Amino acid sequence: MSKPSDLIAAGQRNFRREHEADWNELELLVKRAERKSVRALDVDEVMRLAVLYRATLSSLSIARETSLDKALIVYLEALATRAYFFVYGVRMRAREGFANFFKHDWPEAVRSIWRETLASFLLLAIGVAVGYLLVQADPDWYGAIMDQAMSQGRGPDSSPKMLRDVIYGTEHNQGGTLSIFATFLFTHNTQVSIWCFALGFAFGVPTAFLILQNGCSAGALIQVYTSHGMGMNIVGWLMIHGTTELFAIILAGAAGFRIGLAAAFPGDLGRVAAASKAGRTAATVMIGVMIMLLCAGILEGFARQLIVNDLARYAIGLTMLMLWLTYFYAPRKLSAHG
Amino acid sequence: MASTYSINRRPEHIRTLSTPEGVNLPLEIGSIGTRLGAFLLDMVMIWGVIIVATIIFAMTGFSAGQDGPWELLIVLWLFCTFVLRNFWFILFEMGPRGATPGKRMTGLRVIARGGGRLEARSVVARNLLRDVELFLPLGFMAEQAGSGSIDALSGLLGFGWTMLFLFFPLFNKDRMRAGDLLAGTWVIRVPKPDAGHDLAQAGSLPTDRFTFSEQQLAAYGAFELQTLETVLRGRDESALALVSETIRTKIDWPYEYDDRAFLEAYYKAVRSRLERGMLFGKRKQDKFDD
Repeated sequence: MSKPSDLIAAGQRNFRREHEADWNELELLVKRAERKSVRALDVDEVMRLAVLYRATLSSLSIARETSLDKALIVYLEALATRAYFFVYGVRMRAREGFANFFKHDWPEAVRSIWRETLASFLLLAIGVAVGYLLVQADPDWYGAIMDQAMSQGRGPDSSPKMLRDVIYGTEHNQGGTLSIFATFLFTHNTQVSIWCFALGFAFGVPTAFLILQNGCSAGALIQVYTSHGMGMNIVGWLMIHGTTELFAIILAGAAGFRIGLAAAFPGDLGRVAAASKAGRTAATVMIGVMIMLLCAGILEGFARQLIVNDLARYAIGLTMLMLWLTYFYAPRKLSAHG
Repeated sequence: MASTYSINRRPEHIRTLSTPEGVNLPLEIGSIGTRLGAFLLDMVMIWGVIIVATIIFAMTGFSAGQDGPWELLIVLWLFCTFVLRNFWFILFEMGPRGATPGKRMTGLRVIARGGGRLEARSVVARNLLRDVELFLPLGFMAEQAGSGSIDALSGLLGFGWTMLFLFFPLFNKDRMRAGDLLAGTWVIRVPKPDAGHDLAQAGSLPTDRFTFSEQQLAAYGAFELQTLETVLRGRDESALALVSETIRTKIDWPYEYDDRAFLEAYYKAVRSRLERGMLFGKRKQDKFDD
């Protein structure tokens, strides 16, 4: 009754008509999920999304085989791609991911960079020694090493009373600037740790420099106190939060070194694959580092001001160190996860 | 004007996503310009939030007077600016849409290279790197310039550093910045095209006026047909006239007063011929394909 061309056109009209409702429904679902979140959809809708996604893929296959309507194909491709990320890109439930991170991901990532951690620790120790010896040899070095904001006005010329007041907080407690200073320190330390990590990209050289410099500052401060016979006191003051904070900085440096090593010596994987493998391990460590710095900030802002007994400070500092070491390195049963 | 239907999408920026269902989907790597635009939008928004927060905090403080909770406010302010600067990108990209508001507006999203699941640690890695790619050297140079003592060497180093990272995406075909390389991510553009109407169904013009010989219909293949579709869907009348003239010359068609009607009719005729071929397993890719 009609030409074959008309039959084909009619077939395509039917193809569109039969499936258009599905496509539109999928588009609406995807739009809602994109605007809010997948949680905006209830269980039935999520199932429906998966079903419609597969229906759209099969429409796309048919269209590719039978139609030259480019607009339709492009539309179906884009729609299927958008839906794909909800069907396959949905991450684990937040709570599960959270538990997994603390149970497996974080300690495993930290353990896997133990060599870098050791190197980072040695650099920090060298930094402390160098800072100490430099200021001992010539107090003028202090100004060069120490960040003004960090030293809280302390220096080789400060009176013993002033030095003592800072670490036992008799005056600063009334000053009302304490929590501001603690927040400043937390944000500053986090920034430094981010740089330690990210600068690892330049083959780890700037990271090593940052770690050394941080060690130098601590060494210089310790020397100033030691020269006034308060060496044990300042170490207690540093340690209560410092075991956590410096451990975090050491780990951030180690994460940076891991990246630097992967960039310099990619090995069998090839540079791109090696970099992204190292990057993801290092990033896992970094999420943990920020958590540690938050702990350190709390210890520094509150515990240190409330606890002025040297012994208690040592006890807390060492306990924290033991906790971290046990958490990261203590042998544990092999998990199915690893 | 980048049309959604443009077939001029340069294929070297198209990656193939193999779905588990066995249907391949094309992924378009986002262009540098789009990504820069998204970044600037995000920065404007971040600064907008910081400024508004500052004003609110300051007003709260002043309304309470001298004894107001200044300490708390300053702590909050320090913390907020810190979180915004470092976690704006991370938190949004961890969301289900995989994009910051700026990326959303420009149709971009972050995906794991190859289309796998985007992990939180990848998002963290790519965004922590931004700090040294951009903020650190820029801050450094601003500080140097501000203190008026920008010495040649460190200025040059900072500049070189920034340039190195800034142009990093230009030197790899996936347009990854250093952070993407490290995180194993791509930034892709997912367009939201309209299905449009089917041109083969469109128009109820009497097509009897246009009857084409087999030879005239065989002049072109699928590629040319889809180029013609782009022109027909566009609104550029001069392009229409030009294409019409080219086709008429090629197929020896006499003078035509209605370019659009002619092209629509020719489109329909060629398309049904080619689609008929497809049903029998014959594909004519372009005019050189026999």
